[in-house]
Amino acid sequence: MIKRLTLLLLLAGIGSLFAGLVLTYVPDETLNLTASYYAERTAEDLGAANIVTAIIVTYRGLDTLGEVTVLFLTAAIVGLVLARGKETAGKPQRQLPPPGELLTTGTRLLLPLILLFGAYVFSHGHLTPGGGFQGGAILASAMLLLLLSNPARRFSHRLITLVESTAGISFVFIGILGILLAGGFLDNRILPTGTFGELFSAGAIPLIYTLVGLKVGAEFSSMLVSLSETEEL
Amino acid sequence: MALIAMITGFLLILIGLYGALSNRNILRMIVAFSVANTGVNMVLVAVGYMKGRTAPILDEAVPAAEAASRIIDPVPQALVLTAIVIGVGVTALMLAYAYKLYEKKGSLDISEHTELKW
Amino acid sequence: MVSPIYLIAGALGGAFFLGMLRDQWRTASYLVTLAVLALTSWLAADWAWALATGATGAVEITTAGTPPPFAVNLRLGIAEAALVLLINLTGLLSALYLRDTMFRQGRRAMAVLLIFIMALCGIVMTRDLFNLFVFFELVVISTGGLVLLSRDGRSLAAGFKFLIASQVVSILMLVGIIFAYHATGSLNLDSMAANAAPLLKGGALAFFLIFIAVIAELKVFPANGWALDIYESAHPAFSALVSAGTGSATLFAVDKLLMIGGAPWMTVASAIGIVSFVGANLFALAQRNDRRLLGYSSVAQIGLVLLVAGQKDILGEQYLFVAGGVLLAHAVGKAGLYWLSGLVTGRDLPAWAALRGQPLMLFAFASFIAVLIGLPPFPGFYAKWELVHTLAGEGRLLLLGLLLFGALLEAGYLFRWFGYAIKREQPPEPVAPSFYKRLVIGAAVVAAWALAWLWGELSPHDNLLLATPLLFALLFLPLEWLPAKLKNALAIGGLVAWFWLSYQAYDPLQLIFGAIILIGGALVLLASFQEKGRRLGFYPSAMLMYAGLAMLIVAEDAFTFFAAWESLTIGSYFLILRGRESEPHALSYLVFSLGGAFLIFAGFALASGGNPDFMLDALQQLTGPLVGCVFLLLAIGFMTKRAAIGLHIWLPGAHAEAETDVSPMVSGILLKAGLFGLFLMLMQLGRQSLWGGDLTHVLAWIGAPLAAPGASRPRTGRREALLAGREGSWVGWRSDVVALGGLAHLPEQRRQPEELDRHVLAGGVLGSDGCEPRGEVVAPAGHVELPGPHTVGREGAPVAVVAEGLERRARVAPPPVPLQGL
Repeated sequence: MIKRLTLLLLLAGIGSLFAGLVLTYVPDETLNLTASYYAERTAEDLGAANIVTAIIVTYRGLDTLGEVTVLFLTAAIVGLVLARGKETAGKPQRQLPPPGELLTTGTRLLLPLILLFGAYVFSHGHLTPGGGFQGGAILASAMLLLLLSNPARRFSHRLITLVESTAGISFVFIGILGILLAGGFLDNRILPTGTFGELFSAGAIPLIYTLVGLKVGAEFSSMLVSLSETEEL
Repeated sequence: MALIAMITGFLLILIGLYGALSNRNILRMIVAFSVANTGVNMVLVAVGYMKGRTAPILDEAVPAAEAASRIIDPVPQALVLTAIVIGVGVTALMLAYAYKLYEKKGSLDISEHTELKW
Repeated sequence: MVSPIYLIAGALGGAFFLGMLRDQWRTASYLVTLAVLALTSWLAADWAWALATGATGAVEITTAGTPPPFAVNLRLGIAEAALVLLINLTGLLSALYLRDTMFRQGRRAMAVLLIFIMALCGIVMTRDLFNLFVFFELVVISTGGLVLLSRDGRSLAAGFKFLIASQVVSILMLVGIIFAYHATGSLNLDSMAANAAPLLKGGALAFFLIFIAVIAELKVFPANGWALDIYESAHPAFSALVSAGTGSATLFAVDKLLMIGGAPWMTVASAIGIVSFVGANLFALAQRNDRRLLGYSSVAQIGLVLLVAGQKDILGEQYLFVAGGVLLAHAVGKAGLYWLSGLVTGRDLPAWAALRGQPLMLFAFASFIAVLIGLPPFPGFYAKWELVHTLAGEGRLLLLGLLLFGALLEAGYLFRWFGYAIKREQPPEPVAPSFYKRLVIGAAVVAAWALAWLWGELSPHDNLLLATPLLFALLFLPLEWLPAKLKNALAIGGLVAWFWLSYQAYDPLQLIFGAIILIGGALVLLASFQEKGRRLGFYPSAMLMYAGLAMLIVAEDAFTFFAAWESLTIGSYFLILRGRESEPHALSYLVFSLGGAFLIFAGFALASGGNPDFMLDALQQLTGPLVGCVFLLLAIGFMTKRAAIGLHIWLPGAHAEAETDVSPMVSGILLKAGLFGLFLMLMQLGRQSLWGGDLTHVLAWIGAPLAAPGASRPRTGRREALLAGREGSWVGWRSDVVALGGLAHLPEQRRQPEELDRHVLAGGVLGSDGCEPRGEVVAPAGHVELPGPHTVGREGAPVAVVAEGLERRARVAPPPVPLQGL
């Protein structure tokens, strides 16, 4: 009773803070300092059409590196904690009912499309909405579909980890190349910015985002696989 | 418009926090945090919105020269992307904990697991 | 020079690389981890050295080839470099310590550790608010992961609670960040500080949210519940990392935010800090689990640094010196104690008696406690000196009082713990023999003493570690393996030599006390020749006490005086602790002595008006109502050492339980320190009134009423020695008082030592010396005739005492015969 009351009081306090924020909120009329800089300078400096991508990959690239590390960390911890893959490798304890016709055929049809779509999203991150994280999530959804349709199937952790690590190291390496060949860490101008609006433009952004997409896809898959392996068949 | 999204976001945060701190089932707490995270993301996106403007992507509709007067603030969108990913990461971690806690005591009730006192 | 960005990029690259290795290649993974941490530590050390020696200035690292605030940037100044070095070294040492666990868990755990360290460095170096948030989340997640490393099942629940709390905090922080961005148009901390006005007007709520979130991350009291569970149940090496690393990095983040927030937020930070310091220390008193106690102590120390951060405006240039001193002392001491706790099997405080057979580990234990409390010569001492004086100068007396109170509590429970380790029964479980763990602890001890030297060099006062008497005392530590007789000879030689070297420069007061302390000390030590064996721990403690006494009488400024005072207190505490059943007595001695010492500290701080270079002579120039308070504080402080009424309870037990040759040291020589202080004070301050009462008369009469009944009580039986010793002290006190009373009857103006009637002085001091019969001698001689109370207050009273004193001296046969069988 007391606990609930304290909780309600706490929430009331937070709620009033939020109310204060809402009431004093005045939307901007024009873009503020940083936003206007990005709006004006992205196209000529970085050559990217998607300004959000430019911010994520280059201007605030250190945040993205941290974000990618978050996923790496989580995948590692989840793998560490739930490591049972090897033990349950082998035949399942009971006879599983076969997945339905709909699921099997649907998987076979959709899987390549999903993978293609995912690849499209992360490779065109600098031109259209989307990017590495979104593409990677789509790839992972393909993996989820596979897991759902055949729960007994075991995936190679080794491959997933290899993809993940290689992508990660390459990302850091490209960042360091930025120091050596261009203006600073994670500067995308190590590769030519090319013609605006083309696939091979915006310097290293498509390359980085592809790596990010693969990494994110691998990490989400790893997490999903680890979680699904906890199921006792 | 943005105000509606903002208020909804705040309400979701409050609902999520209430659910997380008052529930005893571990999985429900995790789901409640998911709700709260969604609320935060909504608030984040709502802050950048400017009336009458469009997405910060430069193409034929929005040429580079007119960008500064046609697009909304791109920064909150970048921030929200990071926030979503971090939220997912923490959720996955909490799920791993939930599994381990269940493995240890056979129960998903958080009050069974608190042995350490003041 | 290599760019500091490699601190982050290198650690990340290493972590990702670990993922590529096979799971079975444990050794290779471990070596890679150690190599990466060693490289980053070296890089941090390189930068710290360059910044400290002035070879380079603070460096800004931009990313993406774009200037801030349009891209994330990092900064490495002297403070950042010191913190990053601390974090990396702690990480490297913890990785060494965690060797067995890491091998068991595999490469993923090592990767998590690397990322944890990297994220802490990121928090310290970043200048961007959202980047700060990302690194905070990395720390939270890796903490959650590393907590799972512990074998203690309770760590699971602790980790989960931690994650929940962190989620709530991060939600609030994100909301705050976005609205702060909206108010200022930038996410860069420096540009937000430049635009502080619009932020605090329109975005005050946003700033509040961010500030509260980061403070909650600090886990200050009383919102620290989840942190304590982690401290208690996680692997000790990890608790060391959390306490030293996360605490330091988060504090620096608060400092960065305070730069934006300004004055009102500094008051808030100070308030939270002092509440945390005192509250957590109070709770720590009641703890029986060693790691939970250390957890509370961590919360308290973090509160102290938060207080210092809140006082940044008045500390000015001294800020980094003070904050750095307290923070680094806390980090090294706390990490060391956690690492040490990994060696002890039991979790109960008395279980640390397992260290009894290990002199090196006991020395480490003592060093860590000393560095944590801030005893001389460690950095905390210098830092607290500056801090207390600054507080006094600004009139923030409540903070000063609470600070000293909290420090006294801390000293109390830490030394109580030390007493358990020395005196309790050794538990059957042995201390873990691990080589790596001892190596790590050794490194921490070296770091503690290195910091002591460094802070001494940086301080405007003399480097205490280089004072000859102190060095002489420390010399006995490596010589502990020698037999006692040899060390005794060395000790006597040292005392006599120091007296011979210095006596020509002494004025009469110093000469008398110098003779008593040094020559008297040498004489007393003659009796120690009969002890066999090595007497581990005796000589360093005794010499520390004598070093403090020797430095006390020649001290010209308040700083040296106080440092000497604390040194002799600690040396004598260790000596008294050596007695058989002396554990509670030694603790009460310590608490009273330190309490008195802090009162003296406060007195000096008030007298100096905030000037840390206060010379003792300047006490004469004090005027105004303040003088009475200063007199009172100093008097009570000195009287605790002199064991005056009310402040004496430690005395009988300590005397009775102390070893045979320690008793005369304590009664005859140690207590003279208090007397010296009182003399000094009276001469400088003269007669003082407080609230209408003449304080000198109060002083003079305090001992008299109880001494007479004590003197006339007949005594028999086994407790003769005890009673005689106690009574002797009473009488001795009374004689001192008479001497002081004589002084007080002299004209009102303040006296220089040269003007004093030397006979008065000598009589009073020597008389009291002679009046304190060694228990062994008086008891067989039977009833002793003592001067009655009627001699007090009469003119010529001092002379009467002199006569009696000199007579009695003749009757006492040197050297004292040790009592057998008592």
